[in-house]
Amino acid sequence: MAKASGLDLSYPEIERLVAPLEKLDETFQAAVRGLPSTQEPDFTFSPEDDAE
Amino acid sequence: MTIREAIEALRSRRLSSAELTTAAIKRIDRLNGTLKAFITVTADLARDQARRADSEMAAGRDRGPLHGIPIALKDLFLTRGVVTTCGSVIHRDLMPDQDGTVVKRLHDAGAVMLGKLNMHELAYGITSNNPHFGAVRNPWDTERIPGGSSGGSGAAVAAGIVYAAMGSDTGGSIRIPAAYCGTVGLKPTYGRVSRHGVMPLGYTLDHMGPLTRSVRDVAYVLNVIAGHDPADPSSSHRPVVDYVPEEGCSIRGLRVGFPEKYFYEYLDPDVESAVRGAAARAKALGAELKPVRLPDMEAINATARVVLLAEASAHLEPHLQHRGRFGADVLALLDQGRLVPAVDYVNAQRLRRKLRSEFDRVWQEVDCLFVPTVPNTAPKIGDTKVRLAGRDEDVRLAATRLVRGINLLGYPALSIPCGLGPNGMPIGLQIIGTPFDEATILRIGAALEDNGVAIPPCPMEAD
Repeated sequence: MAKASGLDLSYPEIERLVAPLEKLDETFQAAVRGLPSTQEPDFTFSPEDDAE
Repeated sequence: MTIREAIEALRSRRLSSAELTTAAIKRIDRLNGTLKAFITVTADLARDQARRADSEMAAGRDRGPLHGIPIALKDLFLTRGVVTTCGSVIHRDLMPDQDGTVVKRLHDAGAVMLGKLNMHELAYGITSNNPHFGAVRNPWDTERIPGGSSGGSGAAVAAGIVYAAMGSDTGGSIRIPAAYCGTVGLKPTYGRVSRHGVMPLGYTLDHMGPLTRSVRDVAYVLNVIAGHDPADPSSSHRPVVDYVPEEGCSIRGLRVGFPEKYFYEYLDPDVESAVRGAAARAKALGAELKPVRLPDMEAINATARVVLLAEASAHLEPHLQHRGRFGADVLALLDQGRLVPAVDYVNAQRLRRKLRSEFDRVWQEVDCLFVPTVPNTAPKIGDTKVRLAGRDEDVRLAATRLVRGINLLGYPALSIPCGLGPNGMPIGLQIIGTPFDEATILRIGAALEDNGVAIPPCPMEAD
């Protein structure tokens, strides 16, 4: 994920403050590779006003 | 004392709401310097509301089981005329001009509002070690965290200050403090309780729910706050029921799922033993324990984290120009969220639908799942690692790994206390249920509670 942005996340405390994204990215992208091409997202947008 | 006991005392005129409220204010005065559970105390408002409740009851008007009962709200529920900080300095002057839907419903039910509760800054974390309003402390051991982000809610209920507190749960933030503080906590189904008038963190992950000292008390609050709200676009039209479990409720024949993989790995052995003990009690009460296989929980958790990173940073982006106003951990998470590409967010929502569909099949086999809420008991304030089954783990990832995925799936989940560790700290059992069937998990919780799955009151409650 970090490759896609120019944001500097190299400040010295970052690894102490938050879990690194690499492991998350690895698990997440592996799951994404298993998605069928026809899989729709789970957005709540609906042309009706009171969608459930 | 529980809500049920308090309302009986109020209805029989053995106690007045004014007396309950005065006692609560005195407890805040005595304990809040240590616990840092409250950010704002609304003592005058509470006294007025209590007087009104007493007058109404004397005149024969009874608004129900919350009438005259002192409660408090996590400080991200918007409250008319009462500052709503969200535990941050960026909102320290936020004075809402109206109440959110949950707050309005609680007022209409006659609840007495004692104040606004401390929390992890912006609800984005689980320690409640708030850099602006002080570290909330666990009433069972004030050297330990209460969990979070609804840490003030857990502490205020466990310490016997209020009878119920509202919390919010985006990745475990009701259930974690409930487990660490030895209270009951309910994350209802997504769409069951309105999000309108609550400061968001993750739009599609945020759930509102109560923390109390008993399962039936949680149900009393749910009865008041559940139901469709046209002001919340994700609010469900499904009808509500009476959620309060009947006396002597039975769980005979209920199918309890026991997922050995993932949820029972890397646990404190005392947590595992207490949760298995609660399951054994359920079996003794006639429930059927069934081993179940779940979809890929690592993928579900990872997807939930991607969704939250992106949604939280999207919401808070306008404030990021003032970096010095954020605590270091929250700022780092917000920075990380800005690195999530739009492609990943969309794919996360695609994965969500797929994983939810896979998980829904589990409900053909069982009626609920029994799992630990958290893998450990409350860590010490300042601890960053916890060692579980020979593995060092980040305190925050450990606390969230058994709860976060359920936010992605939107299922209801109840945490009840089921034991104490050798360190004297509470252990939580998490009962995960099928969508919109809060009634079943509350019935299971009440049956267990009625039959000895419980812990002694927090020692501070007697102070």
